[in-house]
Amino acid sequence: MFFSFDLLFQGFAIAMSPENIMWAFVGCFVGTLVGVLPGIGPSSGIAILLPLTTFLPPTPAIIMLAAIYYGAMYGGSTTAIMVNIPGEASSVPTALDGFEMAKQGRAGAALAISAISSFVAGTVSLLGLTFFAPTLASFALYFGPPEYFALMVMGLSLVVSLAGKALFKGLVSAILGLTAAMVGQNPLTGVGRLTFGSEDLMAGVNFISVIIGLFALGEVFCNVEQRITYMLDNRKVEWMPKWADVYRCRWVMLRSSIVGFFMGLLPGCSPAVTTFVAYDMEKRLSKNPESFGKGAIEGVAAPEGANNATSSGGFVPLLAFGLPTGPALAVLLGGLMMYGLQPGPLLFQSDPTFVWAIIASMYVGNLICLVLNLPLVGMWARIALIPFPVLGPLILVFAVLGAYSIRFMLFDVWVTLIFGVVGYLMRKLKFPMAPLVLASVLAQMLETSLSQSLLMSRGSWSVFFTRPIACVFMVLSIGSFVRGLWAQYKSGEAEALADGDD
Amino acid sequence: MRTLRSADIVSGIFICLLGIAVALAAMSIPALMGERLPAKALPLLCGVLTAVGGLLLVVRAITYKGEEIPVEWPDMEGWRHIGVTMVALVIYVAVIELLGLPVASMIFVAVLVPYLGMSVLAGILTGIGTAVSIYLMIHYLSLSFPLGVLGA
Repeated sequence: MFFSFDLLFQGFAIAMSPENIMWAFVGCFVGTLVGVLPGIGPSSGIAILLPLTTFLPPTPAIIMLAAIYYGAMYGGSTTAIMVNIPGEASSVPTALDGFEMAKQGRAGAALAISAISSFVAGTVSLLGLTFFAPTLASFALYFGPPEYFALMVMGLSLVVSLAGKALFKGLVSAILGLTAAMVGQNPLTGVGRLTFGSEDLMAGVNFISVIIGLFALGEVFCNVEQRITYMLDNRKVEWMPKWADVYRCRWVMLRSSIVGFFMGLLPGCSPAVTTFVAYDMEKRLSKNPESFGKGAIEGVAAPEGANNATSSGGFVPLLAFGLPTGPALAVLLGGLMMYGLQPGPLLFQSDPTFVWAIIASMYVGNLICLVLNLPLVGMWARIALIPFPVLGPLILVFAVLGAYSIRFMLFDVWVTLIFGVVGYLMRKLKFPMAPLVLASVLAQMLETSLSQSLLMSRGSWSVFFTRPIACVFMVLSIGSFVRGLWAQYKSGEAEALADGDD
Repeated sequence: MRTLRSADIVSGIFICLLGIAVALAAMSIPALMGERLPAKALPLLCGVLTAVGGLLLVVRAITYKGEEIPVEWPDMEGWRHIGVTMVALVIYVAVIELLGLPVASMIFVAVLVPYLGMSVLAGILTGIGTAVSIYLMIHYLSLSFPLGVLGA
């Protein structure tokens, strides 16, 4: 992978050809639509649309597939913001503040900042991909199972800040999430457990069902009981964000780009983890952290930026080693191989024009996504004008559709319904829901990396402290837990029951 | 269950029982050869932590001395609305494979929209719109959603 401006310009020349721009546009458009549908995330989107590209030559086909991928990443935030349905785990932090903004009549601003932040972060991490790919690719090689485990523990420690003042209930919620994720097969050995004799439970509880149930169904149930006429109190359709908002988020976007990009280099570290990390980081750095969860625009910009930065960052190991960092990129890898292109160091030497055309097309694609999404903001924001008696049942249909499309199993839909009731009760009893989601997302990786680390170290737990990167993560996460518990202890037991802040 | 305190006691007991059930089920997970992390370790840990968490929730609620906080439960009318919505949802999911997604969704929407306060006409129109868009989506993306009565 040797960078040269000649190759990059050559790539731009190919990417800017009218035909390739058109396919990038089609990809972005279809990707955005697929991203808006809950449940059908980028990976199933690409898989569904892969056959459609077979009539194209390799370069436009891969340009289109890549465009579907980041187009879907743009679209994922729409339902999270408008109707509180995060279609995939990575949009959960977006829903926390985005939906609050929508309730306050700032849906347009939330959607627009998420598109702008996605664009900025996508472009920043593309610069990283263009100029530093070879150096960065080796970064991922330092990450063995112990580092992953430590990273996942650090992810879990975010529960402390996600739970806010309701720390104890947040911890209980996280443990419930972990327990739910344990049901089904052991990820390493495939042996069934906690199935209580039910064959259906062998399939396990998919976290997308959990998310759709908790957020979408729970929200609808809460609205049904109040017999409201509109879901969003304030139905002012505000098109564009104020420039002051964009300006305020400038550092947020940059920071989340960097975090997202570096985490995107790591195989298995899906955008779901990155968006939570970026959200948490901004909450900590913010001058008024208490505004997070109540409609802070930074709380939308950070996860959305990180999401797109992770998706672009994932192209580094994909192109340099042929290592897909997530399910969506694995499908894309399949697409590349379908055309007889084996990604890896050799691809850069054997087919440099192709690689650089793809990279150049991603700059173009990001711009297309922004241009495509900003005008759509006005359309999506009008969802707020739909009266609840119509919107509510439609959300339920969407939720069922989304849950069914995870694995095309009715079982997942039933799980979603159960978590809908759980979500309703959690709202009423003031249990924070984000920790449950985070824990169920992290659980599998946590378990796999722990098992692998212990196999590696022959059962010694010291492996997490003798390897420098793992040790840093472990110390950080323990520090974060201790700090949270101490803060809770100091604030006094008397208040603890009251301030369930969800 | 009227105050957060009593609700915490009830939910704590429930969570504790759930944890005990999980822990008991985890005990019977067979061990495999050569495992450094026994197969039952994490499920057992989760069960025990869940049980302890539930128990602490109960203890914390019982020893709570502060002001009572009421839980905002819905009124009778509200309960009826939630009940009907949930029952409709369960029936909807139960007949999806029989009637197919487009038709089942159409009926579900056409019934629930008027129930929640719009005109019957609005319900029927939304229902038809939903069915058509779902059908088109299944058809053009060749998704393996059940088509039921509409056939393959």
